[in-house]
Formats: sequence, structure tokens, C-alpha cells
Amino acid sequence: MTTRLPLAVRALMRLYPLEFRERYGRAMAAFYVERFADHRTFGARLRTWRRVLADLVIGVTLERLRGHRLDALQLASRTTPLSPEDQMSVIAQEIVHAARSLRKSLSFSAAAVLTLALGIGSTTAIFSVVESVLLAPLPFPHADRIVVPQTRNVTTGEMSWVSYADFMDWRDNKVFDQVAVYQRTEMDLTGSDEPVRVSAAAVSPQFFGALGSAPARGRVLQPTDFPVDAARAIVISDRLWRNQFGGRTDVVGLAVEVNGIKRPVVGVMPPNTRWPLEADLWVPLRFSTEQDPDLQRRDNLIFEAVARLAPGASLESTRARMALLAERAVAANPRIRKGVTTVPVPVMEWALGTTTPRALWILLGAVGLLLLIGCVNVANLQLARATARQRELAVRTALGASRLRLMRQMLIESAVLAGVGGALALALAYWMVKVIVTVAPRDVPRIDTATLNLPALGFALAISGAVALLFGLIPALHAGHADPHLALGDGGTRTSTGRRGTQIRRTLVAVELALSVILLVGAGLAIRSIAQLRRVDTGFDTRNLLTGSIALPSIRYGTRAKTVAFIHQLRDRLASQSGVEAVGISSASPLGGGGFYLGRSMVAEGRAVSNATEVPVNWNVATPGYFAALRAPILRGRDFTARDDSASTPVMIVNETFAKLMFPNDNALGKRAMSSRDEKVYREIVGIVRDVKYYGASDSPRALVWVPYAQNPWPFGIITLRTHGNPVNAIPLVRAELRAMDRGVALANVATMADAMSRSMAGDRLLAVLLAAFASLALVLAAVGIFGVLSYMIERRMHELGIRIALGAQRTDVVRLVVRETTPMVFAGLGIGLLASAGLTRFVRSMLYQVAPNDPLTFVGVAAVLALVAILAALVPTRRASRVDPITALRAD
Amino acid sequence: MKSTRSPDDLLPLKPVETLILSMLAAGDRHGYGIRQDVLDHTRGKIELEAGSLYRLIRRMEAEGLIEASVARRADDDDRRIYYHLSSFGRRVISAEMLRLRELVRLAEDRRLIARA
Repeated sequence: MTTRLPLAVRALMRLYPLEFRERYGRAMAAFYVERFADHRTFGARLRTWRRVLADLVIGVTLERLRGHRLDALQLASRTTPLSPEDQMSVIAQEIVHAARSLRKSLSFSAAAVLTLALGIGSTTAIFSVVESVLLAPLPFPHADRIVVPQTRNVTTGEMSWVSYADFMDWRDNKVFDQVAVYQRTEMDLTGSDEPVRVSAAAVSPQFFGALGSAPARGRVLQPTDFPVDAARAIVISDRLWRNQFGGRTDVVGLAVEVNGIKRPVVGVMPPNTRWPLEADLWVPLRFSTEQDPDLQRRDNLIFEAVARLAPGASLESTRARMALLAERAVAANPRIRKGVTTVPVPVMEWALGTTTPRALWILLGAVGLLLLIGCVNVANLQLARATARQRELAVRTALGASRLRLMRQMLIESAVLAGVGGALALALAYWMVKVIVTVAPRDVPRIDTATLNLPALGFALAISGAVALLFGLIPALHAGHADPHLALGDGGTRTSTGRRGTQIRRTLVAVELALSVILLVGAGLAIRSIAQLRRVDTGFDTRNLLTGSIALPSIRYGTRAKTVAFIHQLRDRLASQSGVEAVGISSASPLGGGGFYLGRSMVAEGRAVSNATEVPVNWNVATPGYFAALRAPILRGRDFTARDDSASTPVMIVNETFAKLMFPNDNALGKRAMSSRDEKVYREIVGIVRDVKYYGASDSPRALVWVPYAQNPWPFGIITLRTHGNPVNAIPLVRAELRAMDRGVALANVATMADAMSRSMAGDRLLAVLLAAFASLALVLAAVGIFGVLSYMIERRMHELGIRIALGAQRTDVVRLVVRETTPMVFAGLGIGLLASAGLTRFVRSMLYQVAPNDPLTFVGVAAVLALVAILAALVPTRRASRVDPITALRAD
Repeated sequence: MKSTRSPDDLLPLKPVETLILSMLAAGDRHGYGIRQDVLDHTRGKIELEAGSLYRLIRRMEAEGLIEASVARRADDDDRRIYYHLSSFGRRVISAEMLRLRELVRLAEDRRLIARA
């Protein structure tokens, strides 16, 4: 029973008023022990934390206000018993009064409102995105019970898809409640004028059961849909139903032509209920027999899987059962299964990957800092204003205004500020979410579901509003304590209260500067990383290139010959068009441009097949002319030609990395290697091509091979077209040629290579842009802080400066004074900020491309920028100080 | 003082107070127990956290609706406070339920819902 509560919880509990703590503190502690004891997943823990912290913050605020409110009411009733109507009208009066008084000090109000709006707005926007992308549960019942079974390499930790044999083990041994495998594919909705390509999944029988999803209309796939002679039933997504079928209510039962075959629609899924996340169409995965040797092979990892934990089973118990079955598989197939196991991965973890969550947490951290800076700035502004108004309040106190009345006015003024700031923040956040959703890279899962999160807005507003109120009260408190005579008689601004206030404000500015430094360093590193990415050599010429994919329906292109003929004919027809410089077709496109490749293992001729000799490669298919179209130079050897066909010697073209890995000491050209686990045909290396960036600009070199379509005909291809002019102009031409050859083949995923290049950097760029934006805001706020403190200091010492100048002090002495005032504050902020950054940058390490987290250029640059801003912010007050006219300054008192 | 108050003075209760009082009608509960009961009976819709829960408890204690219990099991976390309904609280929650029943009947008469 001695479980320690988390520090944050204990700290917040301490903020409750003593009386409340004495009565309920221990009981609350006991409550939290149980509250924190019970969660399984990271998401659940996060949710608990969010709720508990919000509850504590709200509770503390209400409790703290409660005392005052009671005081206020009792006082009010003792002095002037006001009817509710009168009270309302007094409050209305005071709101008007507050608005008027705020308008009088317009620059202060504008600064405070903007600060609040920016801080609250950006925090809300980023949190809204985090909530929808990272935290919101998937739209399946008890989604925390869904897992993705994966194959795991024990040594490298690398995850891959699963084999059908493993799937059968899980299914037949009832490891899961329901388990299914599926394969993603693309299918063409044909039959209308322009065929449409959609993302599809061929799924095994328990697929919908494992997800637990019920159809919105009709039914999901059922066992009778799976025999190979059954009608080819399809289930469609809500999105497809609306976009392609106009939401027609009689869609269930409709026969739709898919890849040239009529298939009945049996069901429609509810909105946003998609798995895999982008799928729009589900078809039964059918086999004539599960005994097919390809399905029995344990290293044939060509299926994705999804499963629902068995009732009563935990992730851990399921992991143990899967490991046991995997061990048996190793025992039965030691050669191919050594060092391989299978594991269940929680579905959210799998869906989100690692890059997106990390980037979003970094952004959330950044806006958190910004909100903090905003709060500090508002506190600072309120303090400045407090000092400026001390005299006004003293006068009003002397004239008989009660302290209560003054406090109420200050509270209302602060509330008006927070209210206006909050309203602006709402608009800003709404707009920012929209922008982020639009410009975010498409591969961020669920980004399209991001909407403004109102609880987040409330949370941010509550925090900054509380700060505004708290510091807004200070002048009223002083006004109550301060002796009116003192305040009026002497310059109130020179009392000890004023000096203490200055000290607080200097500290606040240093804090602001430190926080800004952290943001600036983060932004600086991200920008440096982007600059490195832009300089990346992709290995080919990305200008004037158009890409677009085609898929050939098996019903009309059932044979190898027909497929090859179509692909080659299409290439030749496009090559003969005017405006086309070069053209090639391949199965996959570089820079993450999509398409298909096989992950295979290859072994050089003359070597025994083993883990040590196998080189993992990405296996692609290409036509002659493909590398010329890319302008990826063939360093040695030759391109494919029309003579490389099914009858001739099996050949392949490999990249430099392949040559280096497979034949470290030899010239690879002319050597032979085979795909050791499946094709098992020795292929001669006829060409070595320069490395190209495969998955994206930040990709590291990987071994790639290409074989000719004529020797490995895939019914799929990406057309790569090099044009003389703007590649976009060639799109109609490609469509026309395609239509002339077969009206039922769609051109999909049309993009220019420049698009692909910028898309492959979109995530990094967005991160850099947002960080830079937040850092700039932080910098502006910090500059306002410096400016405020100095202006105030000079205001306060006007008298002294006047005397000094009258006594013959030089302007430079005055400047020295200002520098002496500014330097410690700036250096403290800078120093603390740089140290903190050095500690924090390890969180961004994995997001950087060829930039060290302690990149000296960034750190020095940040220090320089900050110093410059500090000088600029100090400039105006300094000029004013050095121009103090002794006569005016002395007369002011 | 309290005995002279009529339960009707406190009506209508807030929904969450009604829930908590109903849970306590089944016997003594400590804070987290109340939370779990409410969670179960609302199918997870209402999740009370410590701060709001104990502020509610304080108010209901002040109103004399609930009282802290003295008896407890020996092996229990001694920081916990168990609460039970006071006799006044029992009258208040009964009165509230009667009030709600009237409303339900009204809804049934108006055919807003089917008769139970």
C-alpha cells in the first residue's frame, strides 16, 4: 500500500487548499493508487493521465476560486444587499468599463490577446491532430483487442508479413478468437467510360469477425462466398458507395464490373470503417486448395494478418502461444526458419508506425513550450500593467473604492482578455487544423479525420486564462495593501514592490528566452535536415518525368504472352509520340513512387545457399528503355533489349549496391546469381546501374535488381515518361493511347517525379515549417518581453537618468546602464536554453537526416539570432533613455 | 436543524448526485468504488475523477445526504474513506426517484416512450 503516486499528481494535489487536503487528501491518494494500477496499454495510460491532470487542474482552480467567491458574496451581502438583477447590471457595467479601460491601453491589450490566441490556438491545433491520429481508438468495437500477427527476425528485430502455414497454425490451434490473412491489391472498377482504380483487399473468411465490424448495409463476406465456384461477392466502403454509386440505396445486390468481371455487391461498410486503412473494396481470398506448396512454405511471407485476442487471453499469453507454435515451425524447418518467430503487435502500434508518432509528439512538445511562453508573456504583461496602474488604483482606493470592487474589475478585465484571446484562438486553431490536414503527407494515417478538438481548446484556455486571471489580480491586491498616502505621495513606482516586480519580470524574460532557444534549436535542426535532403543525389534526373500506373485485368490478359505484348506495345506507341523524349515501364517507381516489388533473397552462383550467403534484394521488373527514361546511367554493361525474351538467357540488371554486396572483390558484370528461395534460376548480370533513392530522398542504399518483363511478365506497370516540356501536358496523350489499346485499363496514380520528390520530403518539410513557425512566434514573444522589461525599467528610472544627465553623464553611460540591465537576463536565458536543448535534442535524433543533434552550426546560429533579437528589442528603449531631457524628466515628479 | 428540512428542498438533484446516492444505497463505498460502480452502471459513459468526485462528496456531506463510515476491514488501505447514505439522504434519493417516476409516467402517457 506504499505505492508512490506520480510526482505531477502529488504536486498538483498540494495546490488544493489546506482545508480540502486535510479532509480528502489521503482518500484521494488511495483513489489514485487504484486509478493508476489498472491499465494495459500505453494509450489507456495516456488517457488516464490526461483525465487525471485535467481534473486536478480544474479542481484546484475551482477550490482556490471558491474561497474568494464566498468572501465576495458574503462581503457584498453585508454591505449592499443587491438583487440578482442589480448584480447582473453591475457586472455588465464592469464589463463595459473593462473593455473601455483595455481599449485605452491598446498595445498592451493587443499584445496580451495575440499572445493568448497564438499559444492556445497552436496548442489546440496540434493536439487536435495528435488526438485524431494517435489517440482516437480505431473505429472497431474493443479495438484494443485487435492485433496484427507478424513474423519477427530475432536478431535484427525486423518485422515482416506472415506465411499461410503460420496462419493455419493459429487458426487451427484457436490461438485467437478470430484470425484472418489478407493481401492488398488494386482493382479497376470497369464497365463505365473511364475505369477507376481502387484499393482493395482479398481477405480470408474470419477477416470481418476479427475486426468486429458490422456492415452498414447488406452483409459482410460469409463462408459460402469463399469456394472458388461461388459468385465473386464484394463488400465496398462507405466512401466508394458515395463516390462511385452516388449513395444509391439499392446498391446491395447490384452487379458491378471489377477487373472486367461482374460481381455482386453484398454489403457496404460504415463510414471510416476501413482496414487496411485505405481499402475501399473487399473480395474473398480464394484457393482451390490450402495444400498448395506455395501456401505451405514457411518462408513465403506474402500475407498480412489481423486477429482478435481470444476471450480471456492477454497480449502476453497470446505472444507465448504464438512463440510456442513458431518454435515447432523452427524444429520442422530449421533451414528456413532459424532465428524467426511470430509475434502479435497491437493494432494501433502497427497502424501508426514510428515516424508519425515521434513527429507529432515533437510538435506537441513544441506547442506546449509555446503555450508556456505565452503564459509567461501574459504574466509579464499583466505585471507591467499592474505597475503602470498602481497609481490609478491608489487614487480609486483613496476615493473609497473597496478592494473587492477593484479585484472584481481586474478579474473582469482579465476575463475579457482571455475571452477575446480564446475566441481568436478558436478561429486560429480551426484554420490551422485545416491547413495541416491539407499539407500533411498522405501517408500519415487517419490525418483526414482530424478535426478541432474542443476539450483541448478548453484545456489550453483554462491554463492561460488562469495565468491571466492570477496575474491580473496582482494590481488589485497591491492596491488593497498599499497605503494610499504612500502611493500618492511619492512616485509609487519607486517603492519596494516595484523593485521586486522588476526582479520577477527579469526572471520571466530569462525563462521565455530559454524556452525560445529550445524551440529555435529544434527548428534549426529540422531546417538543416531539410536542406541536406534537398541536396540529396537521387541517382537520376527528376525533372520532366511523368509517372502513372496500369493494371491488366486477368480476364483479358490471362497469358504471359498477352501481358508482355500489351506492355511492350504500349511502350512503343508512347515512345513514338512527339514531345516524348524517352519512355519505359517498370513494376515500381523510385522515391517511394509506389508500385510493386518482391522482397527476395539472392545467392551468387557457386555459393551454397545459407543465411550467410543470401543477399536480400528488392526484385523489380522493367522494359527496355526504362533507365534511359529515368536518366539513371548504366555504369557497365547494357540495357535490356527486345532480344531478352522468354526463350533467351535469363538476365538481370542490378544496382551498384547489389554488385558491392554480392561481389565485393569482383566485377559483377557477367556473373550469375539466383533468387534462392523461389525462382531458383541463375540470371546473368548484363548491366550495372547507378544507385537510385528507392523509398524516398532519405533512403539508404539497398540492393536492387530488375528483370525484363518478357522473362517475368507482371500484369502491372508504372509508365515512366520523359518529356521535352512540362510533363503534365503529356497526361492526355497517355490516356488517349491507353484508351485506343484497351478501354478497360485505367491510368491511375498519375504524378510527376518532382511531385514524388517533394512528397517524399513532405513530412520532414511540414515538421520543419511548423517548428520554424512556432520558434518565430516564441522569438517574437520573447522580444516583446525584453522590450517590456527595458521600457519599464527606463520609465521607472527616468528621474534618476534625468539627474545623471543633468550632472554630466554621457549618452554612452546611459547605454551602458541599459546593457548592464539586459545582459544578465539574455545570457541566463541563452545559457539555460542551450543546455536544455543539448539535453532534449536526442528526441529528434531519429528525425534528422545527416545532421548531428548537437550540430554546432545550429547552436551557434540560434545564439546569434537570439542575441540579434535581444539587441533589436533593446534598441528602442535605449534610444529613449539616451534622449531623456533632464528638464522634462525632473519636472515629471 | 437538518431534520426540519424537507427532502423536496434539494430537488431536483444533479444527475451525477442521483447516480452516486443510488450507488451508496447498495452499501458502503469508498471513492474509487463509487467511480467503478458509476462506470459500470453508465456503461463507461460517466467517469468520475478524484477531484470532481470529492468535491461532490463534500457538498453532499455538507447537505447531510451522506456520512463517512467508521467500520472498516482490517486489511484495508487505511487512507480510504467509506461513505454511506444518511437517513435524510435516503429520503432525498427516494423523493428524487419518485419525481423521476412521475416524469417517466408523463412520457409514457404522451407516448414518448413505450410503457415499461
